[in-house]
Amino acid sequence: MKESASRDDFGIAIRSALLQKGTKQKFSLLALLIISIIFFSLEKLNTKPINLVRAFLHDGIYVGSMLANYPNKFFSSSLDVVSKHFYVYTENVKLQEELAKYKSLANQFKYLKVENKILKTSLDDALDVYYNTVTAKIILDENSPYLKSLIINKGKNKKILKGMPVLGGSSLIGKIVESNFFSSRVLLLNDLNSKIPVIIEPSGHHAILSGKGTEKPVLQFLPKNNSIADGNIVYTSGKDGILSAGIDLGKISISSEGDVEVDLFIDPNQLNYANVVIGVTEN
Amino acid sequence: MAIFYKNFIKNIIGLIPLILLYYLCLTSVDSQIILFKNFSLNLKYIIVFYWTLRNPSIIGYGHIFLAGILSDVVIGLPMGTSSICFLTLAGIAAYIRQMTVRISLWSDWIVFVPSVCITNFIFFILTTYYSDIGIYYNELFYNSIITIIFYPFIWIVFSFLTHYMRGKVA
Repeated sequence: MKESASRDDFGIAIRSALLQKGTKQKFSLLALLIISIIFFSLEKLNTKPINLVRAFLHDGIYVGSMLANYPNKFFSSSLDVVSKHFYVYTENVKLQEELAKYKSLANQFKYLKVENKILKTSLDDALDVYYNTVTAKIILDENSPYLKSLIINKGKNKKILKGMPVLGGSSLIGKIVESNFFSSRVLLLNDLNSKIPVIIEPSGHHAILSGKGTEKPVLQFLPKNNSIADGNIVYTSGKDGILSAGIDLGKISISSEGDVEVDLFIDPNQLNYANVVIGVTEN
Repeated sequence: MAIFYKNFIKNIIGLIPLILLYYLCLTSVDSQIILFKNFSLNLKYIIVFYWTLRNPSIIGYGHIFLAGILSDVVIGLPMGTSSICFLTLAGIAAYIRQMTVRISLWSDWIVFVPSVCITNFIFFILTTYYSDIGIYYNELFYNSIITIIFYPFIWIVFSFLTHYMRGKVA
């Protein structure tokens, strides 16, 4: 008798929780759950009308998100300005030292450039590669525990398509994974879902640059007896057929545990603009 | 004039949890505040759970659904994932509200633990088996732990807000 009463109570509570609209509730929980499941299932479908609606919806929400993020950005940039003022003197000394170093490197670079031109001419392989890029403003910087990505303010309206490489300055920072009409999502190199074929210079070893959610992505599938050392430069190899070959992205930094990590040249969190490579011209 | 002012203040204060939920979903600022080097907090879960349990008229299920959709688009998850999670959490909270008479911090906190576990289990199932996105599961685990630990602090803040709202209503 007691057991059946408690079962009744349980049933009533479940029914009330899921089906009753209650005070000021316009929808029942069960109905909304079903709608959510339908939305979730529709994500798998890749038909034109659904993609169209999805792109419009994403564009609208990104604009709303950008507006909501303004107070955050203002606060963090103000904090940044204040903190930078405290380090002006030490930074100046450091910059002067670096400038002297780069001046000497510039002279070396001029010499190497001339030498490289002569060698290329002699090899009859004087290929100059130009990237056709579209510069876009970063409107959102999603550094969530789930995904490391950026939202930029240009999309299919500027011929930006899924898979295109994205540069910060001249170095690779990620690739386009979602393209809407007026916005796109850039998956960063340090995201768990990012896997990029790379080549390490000067050894010429091929590997896969794999994000692991931390600041530095790691190199996987390296040959066993490799001659990789700290400071070696990592470039895209273009083996996936999507990304162009020869875009630099970082330098090797071997951790104390022996992991081959890549110190990226560009910190995407510090960027305001990104360049999307929409094509390559070879002369 | 006094009545108008009183109603205006009452409405504004009553909207705080809802505005906060939408703001967090649009900016994901709660998950970007990194505590103790690498741990973040999921304030959205606490808001949904607390207000469904204590005062469901403040945040309706429709708003919870919509907030979930916004959150998914902003974070980059398949649309509907967060809505399912938020509504599951709201469902558990609604069930507990039906079953309990007296609400205290301890009882709320105790039931919040399995609620978060169930919700994150659903999140895990949805992202692992029904989407191609890789998720940092250890971060998700730490996020759940921090959310559970911080629940009492947020509970106290929201309780003050509830008392204030009741005072204003009266």
